Amino acid sequence: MNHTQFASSGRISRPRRSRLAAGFALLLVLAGTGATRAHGPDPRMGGAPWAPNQALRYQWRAGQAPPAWMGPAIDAAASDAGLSRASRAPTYARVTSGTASLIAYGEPTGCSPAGIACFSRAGAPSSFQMWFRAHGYVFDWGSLRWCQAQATPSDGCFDVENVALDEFGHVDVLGHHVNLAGNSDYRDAIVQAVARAKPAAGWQAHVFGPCDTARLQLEYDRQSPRDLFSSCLAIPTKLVLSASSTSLPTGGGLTMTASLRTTTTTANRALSNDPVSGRNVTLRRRIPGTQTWYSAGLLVSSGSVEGSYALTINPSTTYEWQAVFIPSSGDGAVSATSAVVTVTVSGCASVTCGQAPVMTAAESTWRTRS
Amino acid sequence: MKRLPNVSLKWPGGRWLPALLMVGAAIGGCGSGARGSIPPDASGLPGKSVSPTAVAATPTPVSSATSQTLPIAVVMQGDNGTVGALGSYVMDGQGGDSPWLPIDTLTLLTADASTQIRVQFRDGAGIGAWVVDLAPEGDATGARARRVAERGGGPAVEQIVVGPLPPGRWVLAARLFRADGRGDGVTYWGVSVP
Repeated sequence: MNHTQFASSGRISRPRRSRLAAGFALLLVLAGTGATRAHGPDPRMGGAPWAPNQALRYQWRAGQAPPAWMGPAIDAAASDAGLSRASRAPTYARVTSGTASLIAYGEPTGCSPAGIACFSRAGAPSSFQMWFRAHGYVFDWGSLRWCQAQATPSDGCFDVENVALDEFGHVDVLGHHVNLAGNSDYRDAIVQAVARAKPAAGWQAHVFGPCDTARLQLEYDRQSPRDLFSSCLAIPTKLVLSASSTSLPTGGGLTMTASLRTTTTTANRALSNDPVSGRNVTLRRRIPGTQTWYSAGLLVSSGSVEGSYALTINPSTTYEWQAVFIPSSGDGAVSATSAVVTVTVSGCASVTCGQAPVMTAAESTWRTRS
Repeated sequence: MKRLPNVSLKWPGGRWLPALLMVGAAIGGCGSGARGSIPPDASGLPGKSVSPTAVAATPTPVSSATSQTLPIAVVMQGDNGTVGALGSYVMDGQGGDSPWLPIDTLTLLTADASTQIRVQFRDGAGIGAWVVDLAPEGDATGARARRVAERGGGPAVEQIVVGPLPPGRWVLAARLFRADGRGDGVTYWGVSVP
């Protein structure tokens, strides 16, 4: 049973105009542009962002401090948010004095009638608020049970740490993830539009999922150029290859340098034009006029210039050179290939002068076709 | 547990109209976000009246004055709408989280097997994207929910059309995203299709 079946069920027995209407509706349904793409990064909430790595402090609202069984779980969620953010999103720590954001337990809350927990980040970048309904609060669907309030958590209880991490994600900037049909990707995000109780899959998740961190990276950037991009992203990259010289004598030293960065585009948000370090970038070469590429080795990531990779070689003849970046599994970057750089080798400068180019072991085992 | 009034939905001789309404809304909705409550004849099609029949209970009138800060949706019957129950939502930097809302807590609509269900924001705000799931009545957590409509983005529309739905009793969960980017919310109804 899916949408297509619903639409087609009307096409078999309905009058023609009904079929046309169903067709129009289906076309409109399918005309999406990906703004809230299923299994993409969580949507971005409105409001001001926090500063990169901003350290946010919170304390219990006076008269509404959570019970002893709940407070540590909220604090644990605050820690989870910092540890699993994979970005420069805010960190959270509870304080007992001074100016801080407020977290409250029990009534009054700012929650809608069905909300078991809620938040406000309208005060960003200065403050936030968070509320949790009280254990035993009666909803239309029954009484709220927090697992931590029970000696033995029963089915149907909600895990405070999981729900609180969801709320901290909202405070960061995360909207509810848009799941695939059937929710097969539910575990890819903590910040979900349907909170799950024990024992449903994901009810006790305590780290941001890849589609949470995808949005956090887009809004706050990664901590380091060496960090992987969230696997929920597909960040385009650009690879620029340059040669220390485009003409050199036979046997002369040649340093090929590649620069790997994300593309410069508003779609990449904070990740735009970021250097990308610590990846495997391969250098390959071919004889001009031929189509077959041979690997010339790995370009070595620079220790001083982020996104820079280099390899020094001694080419024996004229080659066309190209750098190739293929991301590893789990890296949300998109592969890139540089433009071709031709380095002309001529004259004699070493004992190999005049000899035909020799295929190295690397060439025979690593060769690839373009 | 509370059970709210049953509301029947039927538009005899007008099964094609909801989709045309949506087309009209899409054509006229580009570039504008919230635009207040929709006029009585939202279709912009003179002479086409939408007259619900077999109404078992009085639906809630569409309100443009209350709770406009919540992205709650209504199922439309002519000029009136039946407000659903708002679950998780975000709006203007605030929001909340709720579990799946089971059918016995929801307003129950009755729709015949040929009825398409028209959904819109209560305040008439433009809809930029939507995800609509349907779960059988016995599914108290939404674990067996199936996707019945989805659009990731595009020109603003004032209404979306879902269905016709198969026979049975269902929870309909419509997550509508405001076209102006202010927020989105999941609104739930119970739907009975004889």
